[in-house]
Amino acid sequence: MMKRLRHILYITFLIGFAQIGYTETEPLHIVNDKPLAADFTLYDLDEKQHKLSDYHGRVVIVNFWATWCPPCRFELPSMDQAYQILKQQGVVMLAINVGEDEDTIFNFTADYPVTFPLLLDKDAKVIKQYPVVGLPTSYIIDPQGHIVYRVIGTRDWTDEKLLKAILDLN
Amino acid sequence: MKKLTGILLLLMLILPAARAELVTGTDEQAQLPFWEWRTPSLSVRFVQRLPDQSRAYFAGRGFESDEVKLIAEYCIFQTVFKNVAPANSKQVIEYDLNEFAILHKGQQLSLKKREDWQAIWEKRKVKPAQKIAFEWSLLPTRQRYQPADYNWGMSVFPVKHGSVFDLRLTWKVNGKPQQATIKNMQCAKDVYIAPATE
Repeated sequence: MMKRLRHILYITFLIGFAQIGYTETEPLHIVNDKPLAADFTLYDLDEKQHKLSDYHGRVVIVNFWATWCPPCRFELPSMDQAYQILKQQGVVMLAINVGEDEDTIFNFTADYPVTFPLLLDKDAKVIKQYPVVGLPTSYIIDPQGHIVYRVIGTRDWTDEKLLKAILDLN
Repeated sequence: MKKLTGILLLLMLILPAARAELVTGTDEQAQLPFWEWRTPSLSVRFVQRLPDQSRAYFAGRGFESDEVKLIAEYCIFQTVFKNVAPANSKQVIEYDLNEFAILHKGQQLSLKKREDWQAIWEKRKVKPAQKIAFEWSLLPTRQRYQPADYNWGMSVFPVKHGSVFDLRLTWKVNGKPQQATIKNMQCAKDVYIAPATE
């Protein structure tokens, strides 16, 4: 009887431990129906024009952010590290700033230097075309222009599983 | 023995629910008090914000002094809402701030949400840039999180600075409604520190 009791206690412990200890995270979430990404034309800090449809045939990461948003700041360095790997495979990364001006973003880049384009959506018209309700939110768009993955909040963009999922779209 | 086995099995079933807890303390980054409700799938943390922080933040976003004054009259918390469920659990969390309730002095109050403020800013003819900054600074009114998703945002409570109140949270896990009440949350006091005199 004691043996059986010990066995039950052991199983109880294991279940409890598994629920507490399992912390693996899913890097990207699949977007159902894979809708076509809304096209946009925005300018970066160097006044270079970026039209989403011009990147047709390439994987595009679109990230919506703002300088005052703590998680947005937190993920920028890892996004930049990932970009160094991804750009070699033709992946495009566009970080769309919501509602701020050139000076604010330019000053911000002194503390958070990044090598991918920072686009300005001053009047928040582009973000309204996407189902975003909080910052940061990122979308991964496949070479055919469909939104295939979504991230709300930050991720470690250098995560191997995450990088592989993006590169597999190529 | 059968009875004991039954009790243990029951314990195993209710273990996750029993792990829901309220954690309070000082937020490491803000160095201000926080209240956090944690369950195996959700974590929602409310960190006090000083009225002066809100004044500085919104003045920095270009709001006029009258509007800054109006915002700072409200009790504001920095809020972090996360889905902390394991990736393989496929647990989806949803909330709607319209379902949250502030219980204060025998009254039930609602949070002041993005839509409420948009109406105020429209009336006061606030410029688009400020309206955009305000909208995105607040916690989304409704959100749906898959594992590892989260948002930060301010939540606005229509109570006076220094007030103590209860907050009833409502959310859904895979469509199933859940509720919890955080007792004795405290709004930051409006502390004025006079300049030092010689």
